[in-house]
Amino acid sequence: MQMGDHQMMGNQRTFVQKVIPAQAGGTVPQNVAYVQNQGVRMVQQDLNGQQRIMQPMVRPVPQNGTGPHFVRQVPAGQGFQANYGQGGTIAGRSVAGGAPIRNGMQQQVYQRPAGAIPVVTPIPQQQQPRTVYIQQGHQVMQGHHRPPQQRIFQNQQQHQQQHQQNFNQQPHNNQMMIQQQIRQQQAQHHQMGQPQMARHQMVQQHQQQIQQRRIQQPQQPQQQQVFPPRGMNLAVPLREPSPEPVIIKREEPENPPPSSSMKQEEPMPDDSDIDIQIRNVVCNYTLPLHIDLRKLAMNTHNVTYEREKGVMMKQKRSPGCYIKVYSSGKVYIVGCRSEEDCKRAARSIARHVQRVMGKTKEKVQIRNYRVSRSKSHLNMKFMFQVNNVLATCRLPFGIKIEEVAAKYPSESTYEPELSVGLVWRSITPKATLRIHTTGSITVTGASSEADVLEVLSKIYPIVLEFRCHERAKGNVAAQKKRKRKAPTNTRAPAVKRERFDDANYGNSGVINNQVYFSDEDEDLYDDLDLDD
Amino acid sequence: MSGPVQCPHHPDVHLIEDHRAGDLVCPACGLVVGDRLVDVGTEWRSFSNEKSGNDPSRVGAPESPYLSGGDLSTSIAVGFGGSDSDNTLANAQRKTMNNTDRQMTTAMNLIREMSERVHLPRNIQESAFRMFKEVLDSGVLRGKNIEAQAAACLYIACRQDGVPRTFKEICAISRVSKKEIGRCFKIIVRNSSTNLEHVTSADFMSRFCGNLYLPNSIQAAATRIAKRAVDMDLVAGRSPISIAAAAIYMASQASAEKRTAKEIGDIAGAAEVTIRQTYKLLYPKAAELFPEDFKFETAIEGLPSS
Repeated sequence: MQMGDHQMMGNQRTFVQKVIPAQAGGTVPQNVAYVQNQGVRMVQQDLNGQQRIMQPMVRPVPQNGTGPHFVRQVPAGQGFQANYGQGGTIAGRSVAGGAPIRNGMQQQVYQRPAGAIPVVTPIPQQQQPRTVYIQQGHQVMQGHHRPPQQRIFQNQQQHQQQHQQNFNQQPHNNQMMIQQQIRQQQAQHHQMGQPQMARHQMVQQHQQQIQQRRIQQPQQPQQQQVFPPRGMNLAVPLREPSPEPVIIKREEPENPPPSSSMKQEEPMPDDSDIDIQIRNVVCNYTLPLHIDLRKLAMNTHNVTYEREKGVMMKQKRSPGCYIKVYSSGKVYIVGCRSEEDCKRAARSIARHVQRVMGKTKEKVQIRNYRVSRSKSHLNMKFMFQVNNVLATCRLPFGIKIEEVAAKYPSESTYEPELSVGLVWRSITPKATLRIHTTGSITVTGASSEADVLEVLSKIYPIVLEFRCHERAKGNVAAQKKRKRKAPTNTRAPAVKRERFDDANYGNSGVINNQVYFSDEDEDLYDDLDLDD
Repeated sequence: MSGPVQCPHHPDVHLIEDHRAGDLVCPACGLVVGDRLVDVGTEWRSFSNEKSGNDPSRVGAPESPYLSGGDLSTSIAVGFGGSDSDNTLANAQRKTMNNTDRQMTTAMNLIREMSERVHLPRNIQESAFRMFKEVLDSGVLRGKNIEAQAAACLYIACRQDGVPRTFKEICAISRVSKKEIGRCFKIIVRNSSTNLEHVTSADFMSRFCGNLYLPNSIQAAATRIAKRAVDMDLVAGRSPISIAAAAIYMASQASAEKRTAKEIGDIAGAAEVTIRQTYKLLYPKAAELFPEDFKFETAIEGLPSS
């Protein structure tokens, strides 16, 4: 695997990561940034630890993260950048098309590869919870849309690194800022850092940062309100907001810290943050049409065609997922970050197939909405169904799983020899949850994001009963020495459920609710006086 | 014959049976009244580890409730030097045998074989048979490797009878992978309504210590350490096997009979690093973990820190 290759790790995509300290001064090619896939670890989510302020809710992991391998910082790459820029997400790109651009800020997207880009999130069609990005030092808010509200959000990409040193402050700042907004509308948002951003730090250019900052300044005041998202309110108390929301932009340090990866620090030692992150959505559908795979493969980019198996596999960049197409017309899509994305990907592949197969005259009907062509002769219906939604969640307290297992023998299975966590099978929203002693919960097999919410809200009071002190997963020193586990490359969507338990997090674990990257270098943080 | 036999001279006296000679003897005068009594005992005794080639029992095995017709049918066994016709006979019989029966017999043989390797008593084997029959009837494990099914049944039987074996131990006596056994096990448990007790470290102490030739005092100390560790919640989330192994390590290192982590790991089926890691968790509170009356050969301060 080359650096920066996409790899499938079960249901999770992750990049082969290369740790490039930015201070390596010139050894890193300028035009390449290694992008961290948001899928990797929960770091991304918690990167913007501040996010945790937010009320728990389902939020799709920033669609941005599903982007390409590289984010080129030369103009050549601006195409991609644009993706990131708009709407802050690749998903946002298509969505942003419909929204008016405010303040002409959108131009900036194209001018500056690594600029702070305001994001206009569009409207109503997406009733999905959107991700709210907060990165250290900058705030990107993407709220939920309630029609017909619009917002401008700032998208901070690639600013992570600069703010390394401001860990301690930034999170608070961000949080305060956010909290204020929350206070204002009692909105609950997920703030998710843009995952790729995590790695962008590696190739930060100083000038860019400065420029960014300059751009940032005027944009700061444009922070808009966040609207109440559709989401779960676990009725946990919010923190007191601090009265200084504007500090953020001033915090930017001149020298980017040399670290190449983010170490997440514990944002707040209280119970109010519980974030749920959707990691993966798997779906399949059938086109009632026999597909000539060879022809399709020839006309599609980013595909591999295996004749022996009769399958064509394509890797989409936006929204970023893996698609397997069979000649019978069955299509499997794995790796999307949200149901919405999944539908879009499904539609786009269907359209593409339609075009290639020359059936443009026909109406392609998707269950909920249709993409129709004129002059319909036959109807191509496709039954789109979401097979599996995978989400993770980390509770800020430890859980005594032995006791849970003792009390609920009918739904839970705890076999310490077989698996690290307790397996809870719920029937009503059909899902499987893995509950670990550290407090992290993984939901697999859910049929929709709403299901995930439901099942988590059901389990929360049960688990709350058995809460206990933070249970560290072993000591930190030992963890720092562990090597990252090589991601397994499973490409078969048939493996719809990946055992997304601690083993798969590799050895960047959750220690005391901090997410830790095993390939971080201890020295880098010596001056920051971070304690874990 | 007219009425029960009685001694002609002492009609009221109760006659005594002499089993050796098969006679009915009158105790008063010693007259042999009855002769040639049929002995209803066994013809001979056969022992399991006797290397006798043929089993002279003409009755056959006892009736087994696990097989469909009991085991009253006859099966053709072909010995080593079987000729073609013998083989055909056996095949013919095998073909006509009921599928369930065949599976059941295979499984029974497998279970018996596995139990013999670790000297499991007959009652556990019977439990396992029963479990297997239940599984077979319900059909939930259809399609899975029959060895895995048998191994899972054996695992459950051990656990139900209060002498759990670790998955790794079962894996060692069978030919299937731990993952496969685990899968079958989960399905069986979900299907049947058995409530299995959770595994604790104490269950394995005697076996592990015995295999390591550690004296009883160390075993008791290790059991105590493990129990205390769990109570104090030092070892959150660790498998009971690792906890047991670490406790044994600690106890043995503090006594005259030291064992290395590697040795313990080999016996317990835990990785050496796991034992070390768990030990590190226990080490800080070593003083509280040991039982009060423990004789320290190496003081607590002398315990290795890893």
